Amino acid sequence: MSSSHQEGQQGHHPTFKQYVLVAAILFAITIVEFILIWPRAGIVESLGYSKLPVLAILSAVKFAIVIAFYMHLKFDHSLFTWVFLAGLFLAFGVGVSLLSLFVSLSGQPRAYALERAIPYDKHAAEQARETAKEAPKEVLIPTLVPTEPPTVATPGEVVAETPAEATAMPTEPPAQPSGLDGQAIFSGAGGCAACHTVEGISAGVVGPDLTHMGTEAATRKPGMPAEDYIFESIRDPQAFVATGVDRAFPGIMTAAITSGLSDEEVQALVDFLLAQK
Amino acid sequence: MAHAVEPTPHAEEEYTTTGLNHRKLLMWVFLGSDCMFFGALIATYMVYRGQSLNGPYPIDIIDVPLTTISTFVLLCSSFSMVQALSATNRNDQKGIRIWLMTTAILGSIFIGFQIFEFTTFYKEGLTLGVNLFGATFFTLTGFHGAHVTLGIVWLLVMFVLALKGRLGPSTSLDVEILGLYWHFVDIVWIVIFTLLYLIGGFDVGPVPPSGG
Repeated sequence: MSSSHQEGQQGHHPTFKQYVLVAAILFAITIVEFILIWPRAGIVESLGYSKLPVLAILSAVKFAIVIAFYMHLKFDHSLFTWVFLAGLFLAFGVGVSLLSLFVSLSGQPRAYALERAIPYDKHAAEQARETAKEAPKEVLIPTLVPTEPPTVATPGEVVAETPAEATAMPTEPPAQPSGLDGQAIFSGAGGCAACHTVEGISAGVVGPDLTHMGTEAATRKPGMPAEDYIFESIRDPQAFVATGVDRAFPGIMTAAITSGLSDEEVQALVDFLLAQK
Repeated sequence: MAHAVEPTPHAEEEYTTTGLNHRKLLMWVFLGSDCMFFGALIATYMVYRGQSLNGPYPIDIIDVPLTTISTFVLLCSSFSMVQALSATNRNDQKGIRIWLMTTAILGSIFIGFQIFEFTTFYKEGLTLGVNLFGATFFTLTGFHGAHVTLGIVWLLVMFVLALKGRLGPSTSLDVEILGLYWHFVDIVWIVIFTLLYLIGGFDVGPVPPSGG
């Protein structure tokens, strides 16, 4: 570039060639980073725990090159550098402090964090993953269309067995056949399946297991019929919390979480849960 | 490190107590505060990393090669941005227009990649509310995308000014400040790309607490 001497008058801005060189270095570092972590390149296994510091250093170098050359900090007044670095270091410090609240330097979770952690159930997690893979769209994308057909991949046997029993129960006849599919709401729009287990349908491990809700509900609150109890527990979950329910995350299951459901949808869920004996 | 007072190429340079242009200083202060904004979002992602109890998990959907390509696009746009400033300094009107437009187009391609990525993720079942990964991922990358989008709008405004012939050595500070913002968006992406894709992109589901 013949104009480079003109830029020289303006300050110490790099020349075109230097900019190209800077871009080439940035590209090269990105390619190296990609090769380092791409499993098929076969390097990532040998890196082991050094993967994190290596990648951190490489991207820090890229970061420094961009602010020094593209953003001219190297050639500018140092006050610009300091105001920027002040924010950067403050952000870094806050981030590291936050992380160190949960994870120790050796990479282990803090003891007090472990005490409050949800017990990990390998089987349940795997099962949840399987269900998610089998029917990702139906299960995971919330849709508020109430006429959605029952989810395809969830086993039908459980539901197929129960209607006979459900109708045989004299105490709780389905109050108002609203035409809504409770199981579809449970697995879909209601979002219940993400946290609650109903055997054969979902495998959430955050909230209580609801596999036998139809039986348990009648004994929970003295004087309250099972149907009313389940309805209340969905509409206002904090009204009564059964003994033995793990409060790993107090405040997750609140009235707000179900406020998006209409009374008809909640009723459909109640009917569905009543059938879970 | 050069300590010389900012050279004053244009006559209308105002007097300031620091001897530095206040608009440029303001931009750097803003970028410093934006570091804290993104720092908070990145720290939140890292704290919740690997804490999702149901899928989709990063390994199921993160496409590292595709995002490497979009990272290259963003790096290229930083290069064309410095060329736009260089053209402004030497009053190369055609160069200003070409490089500003190139930068805006490259930025738009990056946003196109992100829209494609978000759509794919949504179809795979990752939403803002489905798990902690979705919540922290979309919040962080979404805010970055919003920054890029704002930068594109700014670039297009400057492009219109360039068409009117109003950019040149006397107004090069306008292009320089735009450049600072644009490069900042680039360096934030360097950090996000490393943490969310290169390091976190292969995370599987919940791991049992080993306890030693």
